[in-house]
Amino acid sequence: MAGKDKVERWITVDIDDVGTVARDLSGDIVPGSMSGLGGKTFEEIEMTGINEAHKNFLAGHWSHSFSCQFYLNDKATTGAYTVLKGIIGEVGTLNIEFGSGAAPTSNDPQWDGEYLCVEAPIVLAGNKPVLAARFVPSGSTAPAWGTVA
Amino acid sequence: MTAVTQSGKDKTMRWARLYISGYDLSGDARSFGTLANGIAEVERTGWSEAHRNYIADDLRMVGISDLQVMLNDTSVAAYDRLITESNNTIIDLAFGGGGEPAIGDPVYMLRSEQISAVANLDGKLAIMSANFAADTDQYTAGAYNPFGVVLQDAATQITATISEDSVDHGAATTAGAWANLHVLTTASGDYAFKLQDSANDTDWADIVGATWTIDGSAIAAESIEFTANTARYVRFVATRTAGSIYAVCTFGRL
Repeated sequence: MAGKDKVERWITVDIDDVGTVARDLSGDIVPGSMSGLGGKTFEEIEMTGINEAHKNFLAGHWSHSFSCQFYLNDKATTGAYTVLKGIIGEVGTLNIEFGSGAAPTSNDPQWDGEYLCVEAPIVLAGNKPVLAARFVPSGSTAPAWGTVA
Repeated sequence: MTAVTQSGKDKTMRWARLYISGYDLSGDARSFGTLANGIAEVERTGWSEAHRNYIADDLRMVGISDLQVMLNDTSVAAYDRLITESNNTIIDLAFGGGGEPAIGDPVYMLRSEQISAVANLDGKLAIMSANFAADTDQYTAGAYNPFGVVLQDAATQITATISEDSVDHGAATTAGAWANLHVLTTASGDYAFKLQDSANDTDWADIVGATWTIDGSAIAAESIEFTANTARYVRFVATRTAGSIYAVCTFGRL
């Protein structure tokens, strides 16, 4: 474990295309546009009793979503437009890896799971068209933290 | 003619072009909110599962929100085209890669119902802001995917019978496809238009059902869909009887 050296520059995002082939779309991601790079947000279920001094909670189900803007890259097979236009409404693997001051390698942290591509509308950002994609977990196997193989 | 090569990560609004029912309104276009393309997620978490998880509702949402154009009242300019609402509008917004949208460039395709066109100010500039939804009158399940490609570009004048460069889609598809054609200008044009496909970019055949009624004699637009299997390579063909035209053809697979 390399430590306190994780920056956007060395994050990679792989998304399955319609043929379930993982495509590294990192080069098409608009800097600063990623949200929800991994992790869990639990529902707060309030359990406060009337004779208790402060509100208190238990954790319920957790949720996660990943959103990101992609350049409208129509390069055959590997461009973000080419990949995303085929997977809207489809389920595939989303893998986010955090490199340690370099491209991700063995034992670097990663977030990985099966995700539904909910949408990828075209919006404007900085006088260019971009795809504003959003993904949510699908399937009963939860996405999870792990390490790069 | 050979298949074009997609140009990659080079799309800016400088080279975006807006075609609405046979009219190029790019010179009046300023901005848009969203070119929608998505489904809704349906939650299906069970008690015994740790995390919220979802499936698709399989109902595609498409449409254009907050398309902003200048209040240009020149004949057939944006104001002129938008003040009369139409439920049979055909819209294509093409994204050129460092130049005018060319064959193979991406395009957002929509058979639309104009929902609104409201005058507003963008700073001191008077604009029209319009929303377009998917049109019931033009509904077909075959037109649900709005992400397509250009098969005939507006920059090339058609003066003779032509089989355009093809677009390589990587693989054949079996769920059908759809296509839009805008005739932007005509000089006594008289043409027949169709699409052809090929498995090898050499041997071509007409796609069953992929022909248009409009003939290039007037400014017009027409959207078609077809259920036939579509081979990997597709191209636009215009057969001339007389005259010359400028036209845009776009094509999307399911």
